[in-house]
Amino acid sequence: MYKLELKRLLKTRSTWILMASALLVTLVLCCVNIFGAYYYSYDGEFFHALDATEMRRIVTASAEGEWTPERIRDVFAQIAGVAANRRGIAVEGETNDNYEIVTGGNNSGAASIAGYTNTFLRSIPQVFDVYMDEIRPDMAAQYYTQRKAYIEEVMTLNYGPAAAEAALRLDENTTEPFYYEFGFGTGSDTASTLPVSLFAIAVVCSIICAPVFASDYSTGADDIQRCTRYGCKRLGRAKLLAAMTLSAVLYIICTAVFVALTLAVYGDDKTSAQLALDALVLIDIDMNGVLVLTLIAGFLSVLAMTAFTLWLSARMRSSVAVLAVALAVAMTPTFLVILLRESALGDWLRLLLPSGGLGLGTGMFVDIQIGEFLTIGSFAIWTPFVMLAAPAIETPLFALLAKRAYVRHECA
Amino acid sequence: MKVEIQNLTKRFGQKTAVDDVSLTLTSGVWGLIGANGAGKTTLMRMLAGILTPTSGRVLCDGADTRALGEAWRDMLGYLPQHFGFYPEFTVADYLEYMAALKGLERDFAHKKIEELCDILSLTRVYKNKIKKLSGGTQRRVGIAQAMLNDPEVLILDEPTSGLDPGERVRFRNLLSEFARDRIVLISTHIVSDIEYIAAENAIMKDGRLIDVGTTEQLLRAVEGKVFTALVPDGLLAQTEREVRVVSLKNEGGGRTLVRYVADAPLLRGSEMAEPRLEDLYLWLFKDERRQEDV
Repeated sequence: MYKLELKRLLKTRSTWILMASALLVTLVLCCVNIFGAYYYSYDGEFFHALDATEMRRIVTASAEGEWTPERIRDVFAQIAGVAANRRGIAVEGETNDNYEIVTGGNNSGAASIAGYTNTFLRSIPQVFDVYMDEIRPDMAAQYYTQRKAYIEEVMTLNYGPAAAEAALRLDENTTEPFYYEFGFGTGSDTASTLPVSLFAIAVVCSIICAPVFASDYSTGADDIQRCTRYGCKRLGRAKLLAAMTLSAVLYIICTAVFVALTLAVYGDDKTSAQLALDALVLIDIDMNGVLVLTLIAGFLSVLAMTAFTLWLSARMRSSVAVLAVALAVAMTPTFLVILLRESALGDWLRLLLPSGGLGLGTGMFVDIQIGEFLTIGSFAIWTPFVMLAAPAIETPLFALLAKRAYVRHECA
Repeated sequence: MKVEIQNLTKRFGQKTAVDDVSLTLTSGVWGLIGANGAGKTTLMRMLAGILTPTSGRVLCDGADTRALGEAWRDMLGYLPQHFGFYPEFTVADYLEYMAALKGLERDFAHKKIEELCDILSLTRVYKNKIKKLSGGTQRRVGIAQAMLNDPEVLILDEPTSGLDPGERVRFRNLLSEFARDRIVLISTHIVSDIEYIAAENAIMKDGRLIDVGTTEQLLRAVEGKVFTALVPDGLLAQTEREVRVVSLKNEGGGRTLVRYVADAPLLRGSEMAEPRLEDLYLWLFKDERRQEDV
């Protein structure tokens, strides 16, 4: 039954068109990532696409390796020396763009620090809460200690002592000193394009799954199938499994293409996430780990969205209505991030939806670096954990509800 | 084999679609007659197990069909009024898909599909997409799927709509042969189809079963109530308003032969005619809006 149903789904031309669209969107985003990169060197030269990536790789080579407190102090001393003669060095700290500008009167000095300016140094002013110019080398050497204090202060202020305690407990396992190397995490815009790609896959999966049950109800095909030996429970189960398989396979193909192309151009990335993303990353993880975690969260969310759409499909007669509700739910996390930013209610809603791990301005790549907690009384949980747990619970739940709704369905 | 419908009732909110219907179906072709909204389709859907009755039950040789589950569905062939199919399927794909759903062995299924396609003239369109076929051919595909598992109980809701006269004759012959030791329940507006093949008929009105019997038994209700009369063409409109006309046949010379049902002859020169099911239908459903296809 399962094979038969899978074959039937794959026989539908619209399924192939939608799957091809998902792959195309993935490829386009991948190309945007790769060919949209640009770089201005310290002497004003402009590089584009693969040349820009290569330049970044060369320039940041000096920043590779472990960032011990001694190394941080030395580099800050070097920066202070250059800054004394500079007219302008773009080391303002929060530059998260896929390029850097280092210009100044003393080009050789600027060149000597170019490799550091878009790496670790960004999170230094963040934890000291001062401008880059105000950080003295000895102060910079206290980065790791100050980071702990910063985490405690931010968490207590935003979520209370329970969250601060939980955050520090999580951070206990973080390996220090942090490590930097050039790769997809530090050298590309994957953090922006990958979530869009995952969202597109989820939308396509919802479109494919919307008619799985609803269309049969509205055309009357269900009436005939229901009168056959396997037309009730087994067919319901087969339809569910086939649709879930299709979503899973589509997700795996699209993300595999994305990751393969990205890694081929930029290489993998063992940079500590605390360096590449934000000082508030609370677990011991590098950018390879962040990528894997993002892909797992995306996968779980896509499955949860698929199961949710199938549940709607098993309950409603109109595929269009199913799709409208499913898309609304898919887009809700994005809207919640915009409309209810930093609201506990908004965060709860966003993360408990089956689409919680998907969207623009949300998702694992974002949540792992913003250090947000969901709290109930004295209980506090880090949002990336909820992002993984919620869809893992919701997928079987909605699948069971869908099967139940299908078995019990009666058309008047 | 015996299928007993016991006090079957189905309510949709305030509306009672089927009201306390009891009927025992035995081998042979059964015609289910009734106007639109009489409850025929709802009754058939409950019989097929698609719809849960509000009250009452269906027994097959004494066992509740709901409890029989798969075993009941194994015995069943069903063609609903609206035949739904997957647009991307060819006739072959669809019949193979349905054979798998019915749990048929591959070899048996292929043999059966071939046989049914031959009988129902589907061999030529076997590889064509169903959505590209005419309404009548699609209907024949629907009939084929219903008969794939050699069902002991075949429920057909309006099976002949869309079939041309030749196809209808072939279909009637197929059913007559098929129903020798099986139960076939047909609902149709084309009562002449039932007249030819149904051994027994059940008549429904407003959700209730108002009469059951052989065609001959039922026709006794309109014996002496069917007349024909020649009417000048100029008086036709007035005649149609005054009497319940069954059919009109232009006889030439400005006159039309009117067949009508009434308690007593109402038109000058009326002659009594042999009653048919069509006459009975109009007689019983005189309060209903006249259906175009009757």
